[in-house]
Amino acid sequence: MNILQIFEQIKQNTDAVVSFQEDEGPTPSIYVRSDSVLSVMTYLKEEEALDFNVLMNHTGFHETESSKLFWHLFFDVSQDESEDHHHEEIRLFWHLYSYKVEHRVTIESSVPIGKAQMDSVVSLWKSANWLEREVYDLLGVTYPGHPDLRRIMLPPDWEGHPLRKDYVAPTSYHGIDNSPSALTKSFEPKGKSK
Amino acid sequence: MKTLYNKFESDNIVLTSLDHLVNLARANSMWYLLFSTACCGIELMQTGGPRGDLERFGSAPRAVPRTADLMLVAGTITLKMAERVKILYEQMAEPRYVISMGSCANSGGLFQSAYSVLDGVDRVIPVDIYLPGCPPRPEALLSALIDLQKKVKKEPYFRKKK
Amino acid sequence: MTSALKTEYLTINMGPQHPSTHGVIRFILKTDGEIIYECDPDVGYLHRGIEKIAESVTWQGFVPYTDRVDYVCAMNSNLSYCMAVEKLMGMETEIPKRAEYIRVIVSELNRISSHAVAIGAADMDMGAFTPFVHFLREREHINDLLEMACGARLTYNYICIGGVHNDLPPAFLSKTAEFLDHFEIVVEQINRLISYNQIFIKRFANVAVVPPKMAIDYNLVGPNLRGSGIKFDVRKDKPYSVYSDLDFDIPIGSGRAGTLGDCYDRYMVRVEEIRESIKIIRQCLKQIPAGETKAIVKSTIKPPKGHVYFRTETPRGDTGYFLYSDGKTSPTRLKIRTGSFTGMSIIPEIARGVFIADLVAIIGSLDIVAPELDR
Repeated sequence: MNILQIFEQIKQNTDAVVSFQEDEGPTPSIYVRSDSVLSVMTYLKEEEALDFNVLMNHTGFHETESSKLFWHLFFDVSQDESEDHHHEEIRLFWHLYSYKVEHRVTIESSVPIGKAQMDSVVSLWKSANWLEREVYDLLGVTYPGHPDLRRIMLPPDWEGHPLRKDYVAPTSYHGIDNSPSALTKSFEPKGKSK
Repeated sequence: MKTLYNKFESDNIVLTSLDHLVNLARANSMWYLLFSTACCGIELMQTGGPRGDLERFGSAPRAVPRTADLMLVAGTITLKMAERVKILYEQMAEPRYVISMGSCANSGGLFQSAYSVLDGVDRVIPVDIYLPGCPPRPEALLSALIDLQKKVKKEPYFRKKK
Repeated sequence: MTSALKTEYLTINMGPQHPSTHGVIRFILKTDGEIIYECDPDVGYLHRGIEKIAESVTWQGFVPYTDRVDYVCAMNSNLSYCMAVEKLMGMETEIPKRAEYIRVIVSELNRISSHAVAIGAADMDMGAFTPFVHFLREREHINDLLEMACGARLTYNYICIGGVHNDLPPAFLSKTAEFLDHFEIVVEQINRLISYNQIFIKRFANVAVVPPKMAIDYNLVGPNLRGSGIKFDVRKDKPYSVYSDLDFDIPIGSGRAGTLGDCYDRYMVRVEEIRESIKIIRQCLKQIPAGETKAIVKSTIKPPKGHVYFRTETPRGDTGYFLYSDGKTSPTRLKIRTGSFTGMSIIPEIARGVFIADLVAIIGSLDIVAPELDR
């Protein structure tokens, strides 16, 4: 089943707000508004004809540009956002695959950076457990409903979420100095710190 | 040979300083701590393998720091790991030596700009030999070990340093 | 007497410096005597922030980093990344045929050497040191071959966006054919030496059984998935490069020593995959055409805006590269979903109720490489 058919299926059988996004690269994706992600995922997993039994990947990134304003034409998402981070949001991706039907789909959603919260899908796929922990660790998206949400890669007392674009790396950790050496600094372009 | 200072032809008598004799034994039984974190660990394994044969220099891998003389820091040290490295080093009995193997352990290497990587293991523990390369070839590691042996042989072991 | 005594769980730390955790991985074990009650893997001791670095280097400049993502099979990592970028740029059909064949040859050679380490390390963890040394000896031959092709022993940076950096030296193909003839015998020798050894089988059979349903639920990939009896290989089911022109089988676990999906099944899948790789390379050596080895690619590429999730089959299973391009000279987001990551996430589940010594068998059979897990 190709992604357009899957999209039609979702549209007909769930009341989720979805839209088809095909102009972004070789793999088109289905955009789902953040509050209906869990219901769409449940449908995708449990519908016999679709049967997406594998969550291959879940990731996201911090988008600072206003290019995402495109979505504001369709959905009223601006009211969720705090005023400080007006256009900033975290875009999340899920890549699903089915061993039975042998088809795949990319689901996309976004959450505002001031209120980075997404429904956990651990109840559907156990592989989501570590993937969501990683997104929480590196991007700071919290998942209510996750059984064990704590940092995975970085130590528990680490500050900040490194994959956010405004992250500044620490110069020391537990008393260990990690500021760039004079030699390193001499190679760096001017006005750029570690 | 330079190793034994004076040899009488008739009897089995050898004259040498005790320092020299002890250092000879120490240099040729440099047991290293099996501590490979990243890519260099594979080259360390290959050096320990049949072609490199690290054991012909008297270097045997040890799993426990307490029985090791040499710490081969093979690979990237992250900030999360840095404290562990220090603990491991402190567990080793003196005299102890450190070879920093590869660019990552020397200076952070390719991952210098990363937020979680320690820029050089010498920020945590003292290093005796720096071995460049990403990763160094087994021959380079052998050369580093020979250099360390030279260093060890010159050390005053019984005489206190001034 | 029993009423007066109280038992409690003992927390044991294993790693990060431990000879059999395959790199720096830490396990916090809650044990009931010799039996693990709860196992909590603490990963991230080698988290090098590769995904953040990717945001500040050029698209081509990231290729050396992929070497270090999975150094045991650097060629396969190179291939995964380069093919993902090519897909993003829509130039996957422009790659010269000779380059495709060279890519398959070198990555299959690397697969053999990676499986050799995996099998050897599993043997070593079970207390058999000799097979490991045998495999190190054989690995040197592969290292020599790859060094001949690109000049490096471990981190190759050979496959580039648009093809391969340079053509193979003239003697490479004949030397490879020689090596394959030699290695085919070695695999059988190693099997006789260790794989069919009763003590070894006793340690691996019926330990840490992963039923097919659990394997899918946890998204196990590669040999770990096939060890549970699921016949899925990206090379066969979603062929990329020239794999669709090649004839090979997908070995799957069958519970030959015990239960389907136990450690021994996963181990034997790797042994048999070595044979399949030999078969693939032999066909490539016959079919490789003459011609160009690199498509014309600009020195600084700017893939069009968009995202791609591309999967290839590396020795540790289906590795997915997620790339998001904003049309700039460096990726906006690059995420690597690796086989070790999913392999590790299943350990808390399957390590419950096994002996501490069996945890070592589990790690060995899942073939976990720390930097690929932590990135």
